[in-house]
Order: sequence, then structure tokens, then C-alpha cells
Amino acid sequence: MSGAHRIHVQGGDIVALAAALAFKRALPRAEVTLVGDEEDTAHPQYGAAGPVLAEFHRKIGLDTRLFETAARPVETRMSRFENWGATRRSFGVPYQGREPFAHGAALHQLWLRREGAGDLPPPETLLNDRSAPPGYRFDGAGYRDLLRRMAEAIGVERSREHGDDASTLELDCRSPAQADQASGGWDDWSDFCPSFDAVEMEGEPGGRQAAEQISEQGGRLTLRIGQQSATFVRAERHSGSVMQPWQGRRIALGRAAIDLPPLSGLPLSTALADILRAIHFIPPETAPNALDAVRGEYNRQTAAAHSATLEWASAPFLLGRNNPDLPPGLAAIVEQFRHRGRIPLREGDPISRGQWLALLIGCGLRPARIDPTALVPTDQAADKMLAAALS
Amino acid sequence: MSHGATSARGKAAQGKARREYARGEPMRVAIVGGGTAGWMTAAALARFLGPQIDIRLIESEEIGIVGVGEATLPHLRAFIQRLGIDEAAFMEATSATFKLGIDFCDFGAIGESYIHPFGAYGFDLADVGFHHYWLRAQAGGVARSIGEYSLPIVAARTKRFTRPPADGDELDSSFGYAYQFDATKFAPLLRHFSEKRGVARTEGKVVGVERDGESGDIAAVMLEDGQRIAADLFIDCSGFRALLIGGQLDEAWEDWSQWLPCDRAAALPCAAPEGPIEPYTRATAMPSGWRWRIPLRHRIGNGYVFSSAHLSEDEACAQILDAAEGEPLTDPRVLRFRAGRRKRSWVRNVVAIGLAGGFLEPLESTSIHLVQMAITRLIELFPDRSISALDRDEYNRLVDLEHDRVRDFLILHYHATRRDDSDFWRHVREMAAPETLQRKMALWRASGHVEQYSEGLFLEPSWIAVYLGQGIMPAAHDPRADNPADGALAKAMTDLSDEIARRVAAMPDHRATLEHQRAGAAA
Repeated sequence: MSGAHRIHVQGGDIVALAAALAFKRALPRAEVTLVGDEEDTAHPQYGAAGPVLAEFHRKIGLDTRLFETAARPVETRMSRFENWGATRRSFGVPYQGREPFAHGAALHQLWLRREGAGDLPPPETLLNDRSAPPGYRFDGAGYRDLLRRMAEAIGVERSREHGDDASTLELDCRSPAQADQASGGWDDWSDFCPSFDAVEMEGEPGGRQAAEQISEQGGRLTLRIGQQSATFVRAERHSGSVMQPWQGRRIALGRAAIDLPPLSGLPLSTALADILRAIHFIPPETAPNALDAVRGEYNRQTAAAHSATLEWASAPFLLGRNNPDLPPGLAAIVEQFRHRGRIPLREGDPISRGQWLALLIGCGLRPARIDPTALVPTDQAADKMLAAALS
Repeated sequence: MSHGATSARGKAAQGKARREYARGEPMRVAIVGGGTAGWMTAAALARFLGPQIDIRLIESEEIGIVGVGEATLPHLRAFIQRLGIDEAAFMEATSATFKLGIDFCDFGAIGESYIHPFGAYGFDLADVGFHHYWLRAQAGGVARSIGEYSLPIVAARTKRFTRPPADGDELDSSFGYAYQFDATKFAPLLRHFSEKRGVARTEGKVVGVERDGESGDIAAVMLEDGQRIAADLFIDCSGFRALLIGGQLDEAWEDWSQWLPCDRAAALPCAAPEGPIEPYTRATAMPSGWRWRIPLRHRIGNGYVFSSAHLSEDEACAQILDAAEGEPLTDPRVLRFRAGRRKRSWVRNVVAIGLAGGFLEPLESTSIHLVQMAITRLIELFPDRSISALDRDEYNRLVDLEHDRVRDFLILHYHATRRDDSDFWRHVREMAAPETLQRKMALWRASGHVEQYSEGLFLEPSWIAVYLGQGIMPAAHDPRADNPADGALAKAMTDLSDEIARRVAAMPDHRATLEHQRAGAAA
């Protein structure tokens, strides 16, 4: 029998609680201890995550009704950028996208072909995967309290002191990894992607469903959902991610692993995905020789996901400017899209192709040409195919 | 649907100068070679690009076709379906049988066998792969063989087959299927399909090429009878001869024979026996390679894939004549090949598809799939008259990725062996595997995890099947598989295996399914 890990979770925010809870659920025989004082550099009331939250709740056995009672969530499937960037465009980007095809033609290419020819709905409606779970804006303090109670109920322990060095695994969920940034282990994205801190929450969201409205003015980023707005200001930190999130026994999670803007619940979504990936790769405590191989694979997958997420998070800020310098991965996407309206195949990208398409089209990019397959249907047939996809 | 909010946007958009994506003159496409690859390409381009292109296929009846790929993979079903070809008609035309997987005999060690099924083992439980529970149960002595937890394997072993029902439960739909068919009959079927959709066929041998003096592109091919055929895009489906990509453009070949040393195949069709038809292909390891056995309706395909560095052609022919079951219908025919791929499959205005672009031996029935994949990528990235380096580079990146991953998967079958009975097997066991494969094997050996990727033919279930089948047991399993109590795990394993056996027992015999289908088609 294996699985007798001793796991120390450092940090006190939602990510730390989520990590402790998820590891304890996955490995019930493990000793899981939350170490250190609670800390929270984000605004305690602010909570947001994408569709991965529903998967996470399923895995930790959190009943939807409990979540609703404790965290008063509002479902959201769309981020709406309002008067965005230098071009002052307004557009939507789905929380989960799809790239639909009909008769061998990509429907977004038919949309591009027919744009302006008729009364077409905006592209994000075509690219929104309505069958996917929604994202949520929720009461962060209430949610943290719920996770804390659940963790206690299933035997997660608490300690103010780190104690002896008896752990087999350290989950570091503390503040942004200053140590990694200073040591050169941090992939610095501050040239491309701003970092933010929450400063203000106003109003109540109200309702059960709403789109997230995103605007930026004077360096203040406002995310509004229903009647509730959360305001963020640019922080002095370096956005980016740690190059080797799993080193030795330590796995960096949450803000210790990646520093992202708060768009569409990205920070918590990324942290939850990392937690689930780490659990997938944890070897039995009795097989320490497995660590090298699984660490390598975890770091490979996580680095790919983090890099893609940073490209995604920086894209609205960069594409809203005139002639921006783009990071290489984003430059490749933009180049392919401008060429023929296509997103290149990217492995390990947690952002769906439909989301990328909605963002690029929304930011005003248009391809020089489209696929020949999208030129095959007659205008009438193309309009019918688009209407059928949207019905 | 109301588009009120959008109307304003649409009107604003109409006020601006909109980009027009207008049709231009149809692009002229010439396909050189009319075997399986050539006619698959013609059919798909005609189906999906129709009026956008003029397609001409050049072939010579004097040049035979290799007819690769008697055994196929489930992806071919999607190809047939998307073309709109009726499955029963396709099977009738090509004397096809159904295929649930490949039976590998004597690969890990002499006397051992396993089926690589078109489906997974068991079910994931609490997001943990079934094989982790099996590894635990096996260590505890309460597991049956892994194959007994796979519906397609149990069905294959008992020679039963039925299609997965559209409304079936998780177990019913836990598998896919492919075909075993007469590849020499596939091209004529597709020719008929293509010509009905406007593809022009030119009979003739290509004897020369005219290059554009400025761009270096191929402007036209010259035929033996003096015809000149000009095109904007040439697709080289001329097989191993690689008339354009190799002969004219001299694109280098990336040789993989250091990892895949088999370079000959001695093919021998035999008469089909009476009685049950196996719904699977068999690959049996031989001292200097392996031999295939593919049951069709009207005959059995046999062949010996071998390394000429370890065995002469005459000896190989003698050995396949000795090993094959049934009366030989012809003398053995030897095919020669080299494992590898072009450094680039798309160079200038020439795209190589099929054997001209790359070849990986038929161990996992990948030849037709690689053709299909290349066609799909070409349609996705189909150029206009001014071919863009962006399209070419992306196409080559995607095609290379697919070949490289299939390559690693094939090497695994040789490298992960305990055989020590011949120079050939000692060589493949002791050779240095590609670094990409070494990393995959290290991860599996340490943890029972499979390196994951989203693009590629063989995904996690296939790797698990071959790792376990070849006897590579991980040092550890996922600790989450320790969560169920011993008794609960043992009971769940037994229940699953028993349920699979019960459902397979209710399936019709494979031959009966084929005859029922024929009767239905005839009616």
C-alpha cells in the first residue's frame, strides 16, 4: 500500500486551501498540513474562475448548492471588453470557445467572408461553447471560509510553524515568488503583460448570470459583473511565471508559480489546473525514484500551459495598442491569423481556438485571405450554415 | 433570433471598406500518381474544394501500385463518411472485413501475445486511469489478464463483431473499429468517385519536368506521349519513385533505419479458409522481423517484413511460404523500402503525399492514415496561386510531428523486448532509442503515466496497450488507485470482466455480421 505522503501547504489564500483540500481528497491517507499565517494580498471579497472551477468542485466533492450558499456565485460565459485599447473597440470573448465546422468549412471563416454583407451576430456568439461549464464570479471570503470548513472536516491540519523538515512534499502557494524572480528562475513577462492588485469592490452582483465587462482607464482595470465592480491597479511586481515550478520536493502553485492579470478569472483557473495536474503526477511516497521522471513531465506540461496563458493574458493589452512588440508565441498566432484567418495548432494551450479567434477578431484583426473551403458555398448557403450554427 | 444589438455593429461595419474574399481563377492541381494516395487525395480535394480548383490526376496503367495498407485504422471510417461513401458499398467493393485491433505475437518474448485494441481498457475511476487499478490488483493477485477488461479484445479473441451502438452505454461504446480490405480495389472506387466530381484523369508516364526559370517552381510535367500538363500545385503521389519531390527537387530523405531496420517485405496472398474470420490483424515476430496476417473476405494477406541486413530475400520468401496458412495464390513478391520521411514534404509548389513523402513500416497499419492526415492538413492549409511560405512551413511542421510520433510508437514494439534469440532482436533491443522515446519510456517505467499530447495518432490507450503488452511494468502506480478497499477493488474488477464477457457472448460472429451486411446491401 502506498500514498502515505506528508504534505505541507504554505499560504492561506484560496489557492492554498484548494490545494490542501484537493490533495487530501485525492490521497486520504496523506497527512496534509496548512502551514503559516493566513495571508491575502488580493482583495478578500474578490473571487473569479473559469470553467475549471466546476471540474475542481467535482473532484473535491463540493456540492453546487453549498457553493451557491456560501459564495453567492454569478455564472458568466463571456468577457466583454469595453472601449478597449487605442482603438476603443468593444467585443466579447467566451470563457470556453469552440471552432465549429460545417461541410468542411470553418464557420468563423464564413463569418469573415460574410461580415458586412448582412445582419450577422457578433463572432463570439458563434465561437462560444455553450455546452461547456460556465465560469463564476463569487464572494471570495465566503468561498475561502467554505473551503476552510471542508478542509477541516476531512482532516487537513493547521500549523503556524513550519516545524521539522519531515514533509515529503511542499506546496508553496505564498505571495509572488520573489525568491524565484531574484534568482533568475522567473520568466519575466513585464514587458508584455501588466501585473495588478485588487484595491476596491463595490456593489452586489445580483442575478445568477451575467457577462463580465472589462474596461481600463488611467491604469485602473475594472471588472464589472451585474452591479458589482472590482477595481485593480497596476502593481510593481514582474508578471510572468516560475521556470521550474516543481523543484525537489517543492511545487509552486498560484501566485508563487505565475503572476497574471485578473481577466476572466485566469489566476485562480490557472492555479486550479496546476493543482489538478500536480495531483495527477504525484508518485507514491514509496517510489521516490519516480520523482525525476514525473517532475520533468509536470514541468514540461506546466511550462507550456503557463506560457500559453501569459500569451493569452497579454494579448488584449498588446493588441489594443498600435504596432506593439509581441512575445514570440503570440506573434506566431497573429501572423497565422493575419495570413489566412487560422489559429496554428498549439499543444498544451489551455485557451481554446475559439477563444483565440474571438479575441483576434474582436481586437480588429482581419486576415488577408480565407481558406478556399470557405469560398465553396454560395452566399446563400453560407448564410444558412451560419444561421444553423447559431440557432 | 434577434440581432438588435448587432445590427448597429453590422451597419457600422458596412460603412467601412470591407475586405473581399472573392473567388479567383480556379487553381490548377496536378496529382502525379494514381495509387491509393493519389486517388484519396483527388477524392478529398474534389469533395471539399470543388469549384475552387481544377484537378488532374496523371497515372499509367503500366506502372503497378504498391497497394499499401490492407489493414487500416479507425480514422479511415471518418474519411469514407466525409466523402459521403456508403460503408456497406465501400466494404463490398474492397472485400473488406472489420478490424478491432492488432494481435502482436512473440514481440515482448517468444510465447507471449497481446492485442492492441481500438479502445481503452476498463474505465477511469475518480479520474485515475483504469490501468493503475489493474496494476494494483495485479500486484495483489486479484487481477485477470489486462485483455479481459477490454471489450474489443474479448470480442476479437472470440471472433465476434458488432458495431458500437449509437445509443449504447459507456461499455458498449468503449471501442472503435477499422477495416481490413483489398487496397488494390480502393483506388478504383475512389477514381469512380473523383471522376464523377470533375477530376480529370490523364493516362501517361511522366518523363520530364519543366521548371519556372525565375521561381524554380515546377511549371509543368511532360508525358511520354508528348503532352505537357501545367499546374499551379503539384502533388507527388508517385510512391517510392518520388518523381517530383525527390527526382526533381532533390529534397533530402531523413533515414530512420537505425531505429527501424526492416527494409523489405515479402508479400504472399493465400486462399481464405472456411469458417470464422478473425476481426483483427495478426503481427507475429520472426527472427529477422515480423510477419502479418490480414483476413479479408476472399483471401488472407500474408507478408514478412524483414531486415535485409539480417536475412536474404530468398530466405525471407522461403520462410513466409513455410509460415503462411492456406494455399498461396501467387509467388511471394518482394517490396523494398526505407523507413523515414522527407526533410520537408512540401517544397516550392510540390507536396509529397504517401510513399513519396515518407514511409513507416506497416507494423501498426499506419500507411493509409498518414496519407489521410497529410490530405487533411493540405486542405486546412490549401494555398492560393501565390504559395505562401507560412502555409508550407506550418504544413511541414504538422506532418513532421505526426511522422515523428508514429515513429517512436513503432520503435517501442522492437526496443521494448526481452528477446535474445537472434541478431536482429538483440540489435533492436540494445540500440539507442530516440531521446523522445527514451523520455516517454522513463516516465512510464517510473510512474505508469503516459506522456500526453493532443496532436498525434497514437494517444494514451495505445501506449498503455503496447507498454503492458510488451511487458514493461511500471515501478509504481498512481497512489490514488489505492483508495478503494481491497475487497471493493477485487469485486469491481471481477464484475467488469464478467460483464464484458457477457456482452461479447451476445454479439454475433464476425462472419455472420459480414454476411448479414451483404444480404442487406443486396436487398
